[in-house]
Amino acid sequence: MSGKNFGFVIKAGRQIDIDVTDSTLADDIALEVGAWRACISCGSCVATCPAGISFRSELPTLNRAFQHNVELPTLKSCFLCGKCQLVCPRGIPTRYLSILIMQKLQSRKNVAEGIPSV
Amino acid sequence: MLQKVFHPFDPFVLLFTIGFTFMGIYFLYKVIRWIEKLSEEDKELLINNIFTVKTWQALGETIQESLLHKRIFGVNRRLGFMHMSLAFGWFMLILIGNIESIYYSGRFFKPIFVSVFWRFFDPGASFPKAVYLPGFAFWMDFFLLLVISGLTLAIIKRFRSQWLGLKRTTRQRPVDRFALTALWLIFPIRLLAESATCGVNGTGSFLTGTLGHLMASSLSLEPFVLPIWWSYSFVLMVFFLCLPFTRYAHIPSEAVLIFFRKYGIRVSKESPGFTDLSLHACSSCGVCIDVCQLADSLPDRRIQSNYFIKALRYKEPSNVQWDCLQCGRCEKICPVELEIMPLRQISRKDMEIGSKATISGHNGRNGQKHRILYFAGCMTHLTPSVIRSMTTIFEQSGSSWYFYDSDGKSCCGRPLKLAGQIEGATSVREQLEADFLASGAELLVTSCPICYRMFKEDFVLPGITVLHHTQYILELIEWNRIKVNPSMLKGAYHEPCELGRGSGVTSEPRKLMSKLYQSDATPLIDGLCCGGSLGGPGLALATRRAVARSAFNDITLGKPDVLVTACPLCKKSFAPVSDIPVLDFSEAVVRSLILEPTQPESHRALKSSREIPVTAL
Amino acid sequence: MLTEKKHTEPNQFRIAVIGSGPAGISAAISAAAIGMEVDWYDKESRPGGKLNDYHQLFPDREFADLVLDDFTGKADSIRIKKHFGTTITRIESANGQNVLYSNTEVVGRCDSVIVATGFDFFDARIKEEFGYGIYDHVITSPDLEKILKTGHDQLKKGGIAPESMAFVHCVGSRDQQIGINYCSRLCCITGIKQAIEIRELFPSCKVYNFYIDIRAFGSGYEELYRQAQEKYNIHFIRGRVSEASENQQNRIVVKAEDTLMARPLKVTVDWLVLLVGMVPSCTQVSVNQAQCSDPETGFYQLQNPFAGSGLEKPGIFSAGACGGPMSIPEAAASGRSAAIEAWQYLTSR
Repeated sequence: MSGKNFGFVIKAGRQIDIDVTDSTLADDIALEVGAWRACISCGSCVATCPAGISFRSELPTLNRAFQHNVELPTLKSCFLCGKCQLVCPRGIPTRYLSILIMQKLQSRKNVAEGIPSV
Repeated sequence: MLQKVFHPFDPFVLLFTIGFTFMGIYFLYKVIRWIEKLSEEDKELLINNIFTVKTWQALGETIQESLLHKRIFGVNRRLGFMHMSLAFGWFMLILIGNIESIYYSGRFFKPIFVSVFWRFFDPGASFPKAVYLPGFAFWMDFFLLLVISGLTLAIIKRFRSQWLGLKRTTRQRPVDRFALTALWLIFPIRLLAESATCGVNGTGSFLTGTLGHLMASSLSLEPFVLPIWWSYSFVLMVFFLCLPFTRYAHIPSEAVLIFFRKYGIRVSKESPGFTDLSLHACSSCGVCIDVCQLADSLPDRRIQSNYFIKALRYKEPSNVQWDCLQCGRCEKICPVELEIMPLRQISRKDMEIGSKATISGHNGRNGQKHRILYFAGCMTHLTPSVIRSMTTIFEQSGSSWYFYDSDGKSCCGRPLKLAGQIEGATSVREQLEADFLASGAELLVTSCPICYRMFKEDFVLPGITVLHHTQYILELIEWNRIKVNPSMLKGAYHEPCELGRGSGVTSEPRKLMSKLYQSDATPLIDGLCCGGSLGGPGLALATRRAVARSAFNDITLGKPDVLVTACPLCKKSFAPVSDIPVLDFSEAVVRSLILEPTQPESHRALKSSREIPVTAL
Repeated sequence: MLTEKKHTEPNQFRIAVIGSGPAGISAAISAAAIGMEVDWYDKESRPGGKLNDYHQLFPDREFADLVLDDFTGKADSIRIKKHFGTTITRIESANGQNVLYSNTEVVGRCDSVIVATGFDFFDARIKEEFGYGIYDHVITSPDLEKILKTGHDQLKKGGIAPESMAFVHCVGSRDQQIGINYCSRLCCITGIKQAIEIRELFPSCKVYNFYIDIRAFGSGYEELYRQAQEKYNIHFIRGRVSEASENQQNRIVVKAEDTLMARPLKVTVDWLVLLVGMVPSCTQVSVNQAQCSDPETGFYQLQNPFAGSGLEKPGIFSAGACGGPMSIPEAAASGRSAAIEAWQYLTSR
């Protein structure tokens, strides 16, 4: 970075580049719970959530790997009450997925930081 | 000197001695490890209680359960007899054998093998045959017969478990099967060995004597005697060597468990020693398999407590810890009274995700003090009819009440706890606790059994009475605060797991049933899970539906017109599989309610001449 | 050739048509037009089925009464033996002869049967969270249709036109929670049509349609959808409603997620209309004690959907929405097709 001011800034593009995104985490989860892929983004889970979490958006987020190796702070405030599971028209075990996603992220983080798994 | 101590002696006893000594040392080590790995509080409990009457009580319970197996008798008498005859029979053989050897050798302290193989050393020659009173030989034969009869049942159970009251028998690990074979062989070989000795010497009672006489008359027995005793000693050795690593470890462990439990020690994450002891104390009897509602709808056997505990004990890889409904039916029937639900929650605890749940937006109370807080529970917001009915009931009773979670943004924390997220659950609990206490309310009414159990078990709420709405409504009716007209319909009550088995609220809903319906078709089965349980997040919807369907069929055997339950989850689970209306108690009450114009609080006292207790406020 | 060999005359065949909705009427008319002896059954005392309760039909907004009059006029002009007010519960079929039962009573015999028993609307009370049967101002699409037909003043409160109204798509469709996994296909266009009608009747009323996907598959449907957006200014919100509650003013508070904004959303409306899906009719007839239904959906299962509308038992045909969700023109076409298939079956057996 030079200190010169050219009068404009180059920002990273907003385009999602599927060619370079890492969807391995999402694929991993889908392998364990196939229903993970059955989401039709209806948003019922978000509408009903007492904790105000957007579970629905976790799927595209993880699929497009915007946050891999990063904890999803929103899911941490989940009550795991399962109301979302009860309203999901696709019968997706959202409560379980909530736990699973957090676990996988945690173990990825552990690997990245060199912490041995239990 | 040595010769004197180890007398009488024969080389074959060495096999048994090796096995027995190994087992003894191993278990001593195990007990030390269990105690070592107790939490400090639990260790204190142990020290403080060991020299009290509790030790004697534990001893009594040990005899009742480890030897007589009273609880298994409660499940099925044949199964109970099988377990009793093996345990009690063997115990009596050891006891009487010991007394006999002391009586005739005149020595109290002697190697164990002397009493175990006493018949070999003293075939009964010193036993005066002229005495007709049934002596040692008779009783030894009697208890040997008892053990062999139990053994016969055990063999039958392997092939026709139905006859012993089990739809399914347990599937065993290879090492268990090996030990089982050794165990099965011990007693027939013992019978042969004793009979051979008695046959040669012309002694023995009705069993060994008769068989010995028969054997002696058909062949020359002399050369066979020693080899048979060698093989007897050998199978004993094999069994004792295997014992610590198989399900038979429960024989000594169960006794230790009974003592520890009497001292007040419970399964917790902080006391891995007690957890490990509990896992060892499972006898793998298999009564938990049949009561499991998933046994039919989930092909994976590993979910049943029997296999689940086994997987935990041997650290077998298992991915089923999320699949259990946690209905608690297995825990209730377990003859060892293992704390299966806490054991399962601990296994989930390993996967703590660092929950940071906080209650975000519960309503302010506008500074007003209300005597009753109504906590609908998050699920109840999906059954708005329950909330509506409760509103009517509160209004009719004229109570001063406040709808605490009207915005649907609160959680009791139990779902987190069930999922092993203890930290998150604690954080939620602390927030709610503080707010409840600050509200100045005297009564907390909830419509959700899950919340109720959490409030009852985990919350510390001095000055606040916690009631499930069934209890509250019953009080209102009994204190004449609301009036109902029983319906002509036939109703059946579905007992929610968390309310009945979980919290022990069993009589109030049934009393309410009798006040609401003229005929009650509630089946006499232990409460079934509706399939909607929060206990098993890993279960697929199809499995839950199958559980709901079969539970519904069992509950409606008496052909009721309406199914009444007391949990929003049960209501939601049954609604899609039911062909009759599924109502919550609150709705059922409102349907039968004799409506009166709402009266101010001051008029209320006139309705009943008695003093109104705090719970009926 | 066949007719020569077997010497068949159409009137030597007796055929029963069960049901008198669009499919049943078309089947009866067509079978009679071929010349077969037609016994026509319906549980109601007049023909038309659910068509009697409809106001206007999508996509072209014809009045249902006129369409029905046209149907019944044709039926009256041809020789059909009517047995209205008779509920057929089961068929016993053996050796090419079918006996029709109303419970235990034998009500008729025939060579072939066309079942056109239609469908039921999903019982919205099962989805309790939407508040149907609990709150007075939550209604279903057939309820609204009846209101529109009998007088839309019922929608006013104290003579004042409603300020806002919301439609919920996919109630009792595409929902694993209640075991109905299929799409009923026609609720979307019903919702669009009804929303337009509301906007015409009450121009000041805001109308919101909460949808997951708009499935406007039929001819003219997509055009109507576009009209609804462009001409009638109806707010389509992409998000499924999770629950509804009532506020102090007896208005309905709807919770959903606006998925395109990725934010939870709340709106208060005067009326909430649930666009209920189509489920198998409770009057579905059993054949030789068997339900003949698809284990997944519960609708009649066709033996070979490519070959025609025959059920597993030869000689018994399904017409209309008893075989799955269908629009009125589709049902009518399926009725006509079943009549011809029955004729082919009878002449070639």
